[in-house]
Amino acid sequence: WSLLVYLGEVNSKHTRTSRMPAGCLTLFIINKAGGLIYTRHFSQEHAPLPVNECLRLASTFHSMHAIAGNLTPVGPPTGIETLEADTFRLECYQTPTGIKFLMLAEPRVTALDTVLKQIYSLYSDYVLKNAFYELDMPIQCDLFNQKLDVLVNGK
Amino acid sequence: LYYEDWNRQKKPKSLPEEQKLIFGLLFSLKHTVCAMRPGGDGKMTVDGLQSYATSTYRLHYFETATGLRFILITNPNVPSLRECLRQVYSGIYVEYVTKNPLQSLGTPITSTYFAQSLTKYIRGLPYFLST
Repeated sequence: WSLLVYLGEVNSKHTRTSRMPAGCLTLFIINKAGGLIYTRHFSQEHAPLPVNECLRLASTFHSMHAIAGNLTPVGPPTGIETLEADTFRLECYQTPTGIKFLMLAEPRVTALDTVLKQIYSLYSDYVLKNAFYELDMPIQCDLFNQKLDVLVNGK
Repeated sequence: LYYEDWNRQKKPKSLPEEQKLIFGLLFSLKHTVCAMRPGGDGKMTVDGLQSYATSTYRLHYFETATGLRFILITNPNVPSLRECLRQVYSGIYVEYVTKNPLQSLGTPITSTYFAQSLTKYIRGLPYFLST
């Protein structure tokens, strides 16, 4: 127990904390099989989607990411990185291990890809280094939630 | 109804297969986008999906209220060409296809005027030659 607490303290000194741009709406994390392992809603104005909807959207997006990658007219296949719609934009960062970080945000937000990489480093610090966490399972780590809130609110 | 490529480097294994794949992908993507919209109640709307990008290409999508879909695939660094697709619809499609008495709705487009003016318009876009 004391070893885990010590790891938490060390990591908090080295993590860069910077403000997430205002207007980020939702974060999804999808494992390499296409299952949703984490959802977080940041916006206060919009009602969050029901859990079943989130699960369905995540698996649909996972398959569409793969199909869109295969459609490429040139070069090796990579999946969807950004998507623009009229009321929101979506950015997806796929790690070399196959985990996808999906962020929905308002259309005016820029530099979402750096934010996603920061979230990835938070993930590798607080989720993967957690000895009680099994890979590809739903994420229920308090420190990860706290650090995400710090990233969002800048406190 | 119509397919044309300029500057395409990697040919697909089979064109009808690819077209079916694109159609299926866009159909599900459009539904997903409409479901994901914040503040929306999941209703379908014509304006939902506008474009998406991977690291190798960017797909622009424009749908009219009559159910016609215009899809353009470009380099990833091109900004949203939705207005251009709207121009293709209003300036070229309406002119050469809708007003053509020999062209019945829903059949493949065979008009050479359409092909020529489309090629001229696309080649005239400032993004065409930049790689």
